[in-house]
Amino acid sequence: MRLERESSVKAGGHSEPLGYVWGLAAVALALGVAGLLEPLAGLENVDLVFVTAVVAIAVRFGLGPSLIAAIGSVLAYNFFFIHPPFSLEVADPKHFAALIFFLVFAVITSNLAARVRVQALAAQEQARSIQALYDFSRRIAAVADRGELASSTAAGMAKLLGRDVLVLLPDEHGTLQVTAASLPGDELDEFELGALRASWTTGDWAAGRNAMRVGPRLFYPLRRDQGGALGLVALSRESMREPLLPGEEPMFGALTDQVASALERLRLGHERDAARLAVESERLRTALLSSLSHDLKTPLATITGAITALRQTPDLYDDESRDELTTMIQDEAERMTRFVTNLLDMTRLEAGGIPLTLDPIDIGEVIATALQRMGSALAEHRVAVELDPDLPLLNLDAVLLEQVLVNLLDNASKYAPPGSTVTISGQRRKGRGIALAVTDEGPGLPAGSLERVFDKFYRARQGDRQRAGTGLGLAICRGFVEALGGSVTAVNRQDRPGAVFTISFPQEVLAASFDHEEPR
Amino acid sequence: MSAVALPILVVEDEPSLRRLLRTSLSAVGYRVLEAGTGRAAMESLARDAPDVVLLDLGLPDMDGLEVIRRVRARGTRTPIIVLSSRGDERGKIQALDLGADDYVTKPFGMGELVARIRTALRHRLQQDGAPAVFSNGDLTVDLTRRLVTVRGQEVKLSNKEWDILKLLVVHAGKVLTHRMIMEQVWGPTADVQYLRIYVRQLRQKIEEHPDRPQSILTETGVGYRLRA
Repeated sequence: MRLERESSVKAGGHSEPLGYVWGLAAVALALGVAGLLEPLAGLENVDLVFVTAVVAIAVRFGLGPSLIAAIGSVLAYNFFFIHPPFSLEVADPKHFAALIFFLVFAVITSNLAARVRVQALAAQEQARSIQALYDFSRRIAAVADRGELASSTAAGMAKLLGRDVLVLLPDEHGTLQVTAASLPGDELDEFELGALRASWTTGDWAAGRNAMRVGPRLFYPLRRDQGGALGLVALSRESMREPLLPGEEPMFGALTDQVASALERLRLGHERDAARLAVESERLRTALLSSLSHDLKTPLATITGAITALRQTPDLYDDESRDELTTMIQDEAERMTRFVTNLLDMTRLEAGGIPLTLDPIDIGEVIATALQRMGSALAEHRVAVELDPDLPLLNLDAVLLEQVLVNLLDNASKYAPPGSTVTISGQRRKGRGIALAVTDEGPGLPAGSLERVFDKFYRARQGDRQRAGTGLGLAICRGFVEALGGSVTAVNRQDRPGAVFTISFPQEVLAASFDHEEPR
Repeated sequence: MSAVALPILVVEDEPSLRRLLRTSLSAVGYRVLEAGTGRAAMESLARDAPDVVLLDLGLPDMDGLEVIRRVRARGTRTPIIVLSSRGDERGKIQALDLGADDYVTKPFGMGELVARIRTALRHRLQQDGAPAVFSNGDLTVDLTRRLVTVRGQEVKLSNKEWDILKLLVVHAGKVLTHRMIMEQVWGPTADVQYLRIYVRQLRQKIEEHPDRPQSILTETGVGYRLRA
């Protein structure tokens, strides 16, 4: 496996040519030390200096350099210390035997040392690859979708196995697709993909096929514990098929297990989400239908009643009651318009990606148009607008913000009694953006429902069915405000009964201030 | 209104809305022509030469914007009033940029629609010279003497304020997009911030309640309109 390849590279690789240089350097050093030592320790101990050098080289650089060191030591020892000095002639057979031992010693030591070193390197490498495997599994445990999982897998396997990797997963129709590649742009050709898809659809892989050669690549299955295949992984190196070495198999097995269980996790999560969504949308559909039937039927009943009265028995009505009937028709039609507007806004929110037109807007102007749109709905309330005189322009979408204010005012008009005051205020908050508030003098919100009032179809009290409305207005407020980068909260007034809805926008929405004088 | 009923072309594919417009506009004294498709509208424009076109943007055979483009490409200057829906501010701006004269948002009040039609007809008749003095009750603007009075009091305006007000007066009753006003007053590269600030200042001077303006009306997301 990779770790063996790496350690063998190290065992041989280090020795050339640096090891040999070190081998000779060690001999030179030993010679110097021996020269200094001989007068003190005597000739019989000088050879130990050379043995030390040979062992050191054997441990650090392996067999080759240690042999060089051994031979060098024998020559140096012979030349400088063995009688006759300064010749390579060996007079005493005793010394000749010593030379042989020297060589044998070098070979054995360097072999032992090399083995120890290989083991140490292997342990190091194993620790490294366990760490790498751990990193890999942590990375793929964090991914949120299959595409991301596939690319993490391709990148991680390529690094750990030293191959080029393709990851193939079936798409929503069950057709195998190349989902990720470790080399950018690496692809399968039509024939290769065709062959694989054929093998995939016949169920070969699910039935237990373990590998397949296609073109320059070898394909292996991503297998889950219960059997079956979730996808394929292709390995190649420089466009050559290179089978997994026996040593690589455990690592590869560990990797594919990790990926398969991550795939399984994503699939189960997806199913859970879908189930939750189905329940939620069923609940919403029921709520919507009951809201529709109530909120459309009531105004329709009023309109139909008033119209038939005017048409079928016109003589019964004087001008005043005729005027009242036609006013009712208009009011109810306007109410239905607001209702349908809310439904459309909700649909837009749920579809996601509301297109925003962000322009510097004058908040006073938006409040004015919102009040104008409220028309008769707020006619019986007093309305106060309290804006800081130095409010800057805000980078917001005027249409959305206007709708938010209309919905909050609509809410206030329904819950606050006629004759009470609805206040719209706007304040700059030092360095923390801007706050807009709609404050009413109604009964306030029931404790514990301050957050829930923004839920779809939520109504603050049981009797709220009587009040015209969709239960969507505040949910739309929150959706729009959040789309604009702000937040909206509801609290009860401290000074008296009543509700306060506060919209906050961060500092970033304040339009950059500019010179008040004539531009250019 | 002249003795001869002016022809109005209604381009709308919803039969019920066509019926409503036919009935109510006839009652006000117009002769109502009808088209249910863009193609029929183009034919009627060439054949009947209506004085005003009411145009729905969602037609079965072509985009209402395309109708405007083709009509203007032919050099026809007939006023076009778009029947648009709330939430389609981009469509409104595009229609105005392509040469539509105004719009009403569905559902619209009949009074509002008739006022738009009258404004469009008036501007068509006055294309070569607006009357020198405009008044909508509270506000009186004398264009030749550069005199602005609000409820009898003369008001002094800065140059830019005057430029904006003059533009609104010349197009009184008609919507002007932000871009149209900025291009006329500052040139093509102006920032909409300036416009907001100057409109705010202008309202302080000419509106009785600047936070509930009655003369310079806001068309949210589109532009401004001077109440005629």
